[in-house]
Amino acid sequence: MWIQRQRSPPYSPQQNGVAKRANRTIMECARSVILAQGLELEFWGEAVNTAVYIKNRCPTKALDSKNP
Amino acid sequence: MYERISPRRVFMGDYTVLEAIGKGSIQATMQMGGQLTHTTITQVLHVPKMKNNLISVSKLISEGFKVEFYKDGCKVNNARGIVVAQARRDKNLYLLNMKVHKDMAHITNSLEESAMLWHERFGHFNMASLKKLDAMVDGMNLKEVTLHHICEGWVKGKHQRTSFPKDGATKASQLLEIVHTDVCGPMKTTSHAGARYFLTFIDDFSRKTHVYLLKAKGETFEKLKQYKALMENETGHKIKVLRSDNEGEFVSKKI
Repeated sequence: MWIQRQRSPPYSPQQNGVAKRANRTIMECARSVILAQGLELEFWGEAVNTAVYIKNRCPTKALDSKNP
Repeated sequence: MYERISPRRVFMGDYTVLEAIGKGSIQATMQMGGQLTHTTITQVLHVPKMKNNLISVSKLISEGFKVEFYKDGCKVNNARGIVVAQARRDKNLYLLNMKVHKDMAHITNSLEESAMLWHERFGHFNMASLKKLDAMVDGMNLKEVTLHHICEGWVKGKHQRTSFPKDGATKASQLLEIVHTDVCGPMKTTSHAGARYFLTFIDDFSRKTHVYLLKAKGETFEKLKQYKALMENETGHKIKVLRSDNEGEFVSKKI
């Protein structure tokens, strides 16, 4: 592939912070949705998709508090 | 209240000659009958080599004071007969009961310095313990230790790491310049479609997040191609940098 790869050093996942943080945000959101609605845990896939849908419509600091 | 003077000779009792290099007035506290009084003594010569401070009786007399000597001490009266100084006799010397003040500004300055100096001498020892040590030994003379003085070297030494550079040189300036990616999972429960992982892509510039649900980590590459095609068609930009961690799914040869 013709994409430049940047990998964080082994055993140092901290350097991939943006992605790790996003995953955490997504999981927290999804988990809240499922538990609040009393859904079966099998619906986590849908909840994750929803979480990302919501996240893409929320303001973010990286864009000076606009949404993507 | 101190000026340098051209060196002037001072004769001692044993005919040795010492040099006076300055002249000024000093502030002193006298103890008289249990009471403390402050006095200023003028026209004091500064003789660096002299071990003791001497006061000249003949000079006192010519300034209008009266000096009375007894078997065990002496008294100095001013012109109105009020006692201004007392001395006790120690063998053949009459010792004035007084303490000479040092210049105040100079005192605080030098004390602060010496506290820091001792702090450094003891390998940046903590101030509280230094104060205890001062009480145990002679010659340290740290009367007013500032406990809250911050030692730069010490603070730096405590730091584990240097701080991150404030200007993020790694921030993207256009769409798809940097894409962050990570896989999350495995989940305890599989979804209805059988997925146990999800894969996120985040564009650093717009923070637009895409998510793909995976059954296994091996699908990562497939989804990356999908994402790439989708995004490059949508935006007209190319993905330049893909930033991931170093886990197996991203180090596979295909990528």
